[in-house]
Amino acid sequence: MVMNDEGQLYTIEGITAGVIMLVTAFTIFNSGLVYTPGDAHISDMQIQQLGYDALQMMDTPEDMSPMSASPLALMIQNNDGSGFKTKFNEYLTLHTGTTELVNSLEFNATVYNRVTSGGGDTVNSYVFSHSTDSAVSQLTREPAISITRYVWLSDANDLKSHFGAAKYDNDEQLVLLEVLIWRR
Amino acid sequence: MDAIRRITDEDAILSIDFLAGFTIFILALIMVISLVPGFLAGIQSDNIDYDAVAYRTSVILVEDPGAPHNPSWNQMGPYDMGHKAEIQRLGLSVSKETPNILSREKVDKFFNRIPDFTFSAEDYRNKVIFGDFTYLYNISLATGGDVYYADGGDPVPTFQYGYMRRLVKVKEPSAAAVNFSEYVTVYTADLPKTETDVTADFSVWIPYETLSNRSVNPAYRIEPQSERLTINLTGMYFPLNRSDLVSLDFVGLGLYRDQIPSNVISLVPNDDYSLKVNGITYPATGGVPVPVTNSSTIEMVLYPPLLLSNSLTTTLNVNFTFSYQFLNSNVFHQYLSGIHVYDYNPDNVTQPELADGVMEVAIW
Repeated sequence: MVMNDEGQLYTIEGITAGVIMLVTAFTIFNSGLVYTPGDAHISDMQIQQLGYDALQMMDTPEDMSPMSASPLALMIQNNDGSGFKTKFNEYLTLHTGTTELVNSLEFNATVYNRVTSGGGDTVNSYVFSHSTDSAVSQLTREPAISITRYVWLSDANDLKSHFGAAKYDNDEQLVLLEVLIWRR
Repeated sequence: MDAIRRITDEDAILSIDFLAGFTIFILALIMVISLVPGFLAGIQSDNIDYDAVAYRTSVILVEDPGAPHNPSWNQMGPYDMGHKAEIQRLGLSVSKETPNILSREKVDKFFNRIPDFTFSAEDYRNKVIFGDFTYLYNISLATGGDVYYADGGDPVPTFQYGYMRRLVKVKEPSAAAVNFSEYVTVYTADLPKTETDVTADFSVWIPYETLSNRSVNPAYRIEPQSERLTINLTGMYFPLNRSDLVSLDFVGLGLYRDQIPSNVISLVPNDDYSLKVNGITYPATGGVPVPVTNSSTIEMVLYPPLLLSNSLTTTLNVNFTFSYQFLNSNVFHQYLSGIHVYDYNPDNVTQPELADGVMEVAIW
């Protein structure tokens, strides 16, 4: 019979109990439910790439002469918002037919330009174009993606006379076109 | 008397059993803690992977000129499947500086529109889609009213697939459309009254140095190394005095370089060129003379890489040989003659055109 408990290794039962506790803790933590947010960023990226491609296609000049203006630059120079709306819509709905296209993208285009006349330094903006208003998007819509592109205008004279020299103060201007696209 | 000496003072002693128990506990704890990152395994999702692969594939196809690029992968032994293994990446862009502008030659090769040169599903997986997993794919391009599909693809499922849609412009090659009715006095020469027949050439001059102008953006550049050149002759009768002409026949075609007629270059049909008279294939040399009428058309296509186009200072003359028979009417007889320049002048050549297109990539 053991009279004292010195020099005794704690029994196997103690070790087993310890291991069981640890394994239980591991199992509980491993099977926990992890909440992951939805993959909204992927559809956002697809819309952004599509919008960027559309602006790039519109900003490609028709021919190679060094100063030829792209269709997009011409639209902005002539303040042709409806032309932009038609063309941009056309690009957004181009498809090959392999997948079903849901035509629910709407957009809003704004032009920003810098004005330094009179010694000041401000950024002027105006709404350039927007897609047809739909009743649904007055109530609710998904968050908008912003696509921007710098467009070089070789001749902004028409805009000067339209908006006034205080707003467009150069014949050749670099303007920022920002298009917000959202799904209805 | 005890066999074991009793220790009266137990301070600063770690007993063996405590150490043993403690060690086992710590080892087990370390093992459990190292399994903690396994919690995140549940977040991995195939669906995110499909979208990423579809995006990457679309970038390779639309923004990358492919590898090897110089010479371009679509130039490697034009109809030689043996060189297919040297192609590392199938990109369709004209060059690195022109993303979203696709080369028509590369598009035709990629979608197996060139006979005798085809890509299989395995080629697409290894050279475009990449990845260890055997993805199912559906790659399609719509341009100019046509829709092309990559071979070996499957119909897109109803859901759970990765998808990317890219807008592109396809660079259609240039063409010289010579309608002789527009060049009535320019491309004719006079035959002395005393002669009644002649065999003469009309020439199209292709100066490589003018064409390889590096200041022209690759999206608009005429590249004999990688694009086909087309020459269309129509209205051959217009500049000629019809009442004077007994017969006009097209005899054949010849090529020589640097404007020296003796530097003849031999042509291999289908590899170097294609010639059609009134829509029917005709050999460059040795063919039966074909009568030319009011509505005749001669279409000649030179396939890339054009002969000698790697030498920038060379020029090429394409000679169309016609044979004429005139009435002995004691007037000056006109025959077609002259040199039409293939350059960047839009009056001479229909410049490369950028046609809208859209590409869809689906991966699952």
